[in-house]
Amino acid sequence: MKQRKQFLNHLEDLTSTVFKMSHEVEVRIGQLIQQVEKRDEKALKDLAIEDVHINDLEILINEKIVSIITLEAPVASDLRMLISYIKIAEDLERISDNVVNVANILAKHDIKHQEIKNKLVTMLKLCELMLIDVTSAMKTKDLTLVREIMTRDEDVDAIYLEITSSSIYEIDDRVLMSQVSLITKFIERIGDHIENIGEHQFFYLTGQQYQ
Amino acid sequence: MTVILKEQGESIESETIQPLNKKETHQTVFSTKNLNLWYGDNHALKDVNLDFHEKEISAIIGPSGCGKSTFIKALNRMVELVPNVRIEGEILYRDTDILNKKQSLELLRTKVGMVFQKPNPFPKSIYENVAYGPKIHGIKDKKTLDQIVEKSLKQAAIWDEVKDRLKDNAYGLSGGQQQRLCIARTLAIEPDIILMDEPTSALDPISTIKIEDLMQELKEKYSIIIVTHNMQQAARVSDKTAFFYNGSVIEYDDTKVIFENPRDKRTEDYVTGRFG
Repeated sequence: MKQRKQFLNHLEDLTSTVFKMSHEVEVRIGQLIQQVEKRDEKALKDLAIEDVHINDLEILINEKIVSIITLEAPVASDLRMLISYIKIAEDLERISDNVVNVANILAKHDIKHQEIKNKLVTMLKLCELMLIDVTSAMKTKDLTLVREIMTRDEDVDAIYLEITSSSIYEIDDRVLMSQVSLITKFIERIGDHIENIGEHQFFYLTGQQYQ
Repeated sequence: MTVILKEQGESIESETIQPLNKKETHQTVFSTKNLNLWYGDNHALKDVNLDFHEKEISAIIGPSGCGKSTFIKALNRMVELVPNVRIEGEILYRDTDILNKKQSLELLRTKVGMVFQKPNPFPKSIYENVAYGPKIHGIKDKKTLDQIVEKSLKQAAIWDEVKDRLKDNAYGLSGGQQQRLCIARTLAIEPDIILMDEPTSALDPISTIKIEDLMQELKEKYSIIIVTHNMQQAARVSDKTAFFYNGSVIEYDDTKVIFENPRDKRTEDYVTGRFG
């Protein structure tokens, strides 16, 4: 008979929920990438409305974890996994919040500067790929991949600095320029949150804080 | 080397046991060196090398039959009561090898007390249970005995419950109270180390918590080595934990390490309940 069958089933169920949340956030980033060009009013509005579902998933994950800790007294790697999932769910929720922030700005402001839009899409695609890969690393417990993913945030940061400091990307419209800066900042934060997910995964796999 | 071991106003010369020095902190009190033990052909303990320190609670965990109780009973040589037992290696109590047949068993068991899984008070009064040990060691003065009994029962956190009925038979106490009385009995002869073989497994949860709280108080003065099947208990009370498996020590480290991030996969599998 499988030892601690109920406990293992709970862990499996929880893990599925975390991966589900990660996948849904990936999808939302993908939808945002499309909307940088399309600026479809309804689609942008839906991105904002559907964020509530991501919030619900975070709450559900936290409830499941509290229940498992209370009832099963997990230790060692099981406990580290649960702690990392609490933090990962929080970061995923923040990523989704930043997707909504970007969507709200795009809904109100038409960025005609094509080079800027290209750069924003590049940043978002980098983030999308980071999230896909960090989720894959979670599934396969690949520490090497986790370490590599965490370095990619530098690429996102580099584009952020490029847009906000280079004269190539200046727009005469100061209001629009400030909104572009905000969008860039929000996407840069998405990258930071995905890097955090990598750090939580590192802790789960090694028991050490990433430094 | 001849040293003097003072006990309650009497001096006893011993050729073997070193004088106690409880003012030292984190000194090693027990150390096993390549300890091997056989019950007939059954190799029950294999090359066990462990150090236990002053004022620490050390837990021994592991699946049934792994050698936990055998090990703890070797520390006060109770295991020698088992027929066909053979021991090799060293067990050093404060740098003295207790396996040397010249050692005084009585003195060893004065300094290394033991509490068992099933509370085993004597069929005597509460008072006589605690006074028995000091009397055997030659203390006759009633006032001195009264003081020892009160002090021991207070240390065992049971004085308030029994002070008005010291003449009552110990069998009238609850299981948890009997176990604390047994601890008081051990404390009355001023041990250095207290061995506990699953001291709470026969008790209710409230009594268990009282005994665990008592252990935290006792470790201010004594070293405690506890065998437990209850991993949450080991995690709650102990400073160090040793994981035994199939007669060998697999891992021995700070309890925090054993339960947060054990180094050996077998330890990880055991504490997470993957086997056992």
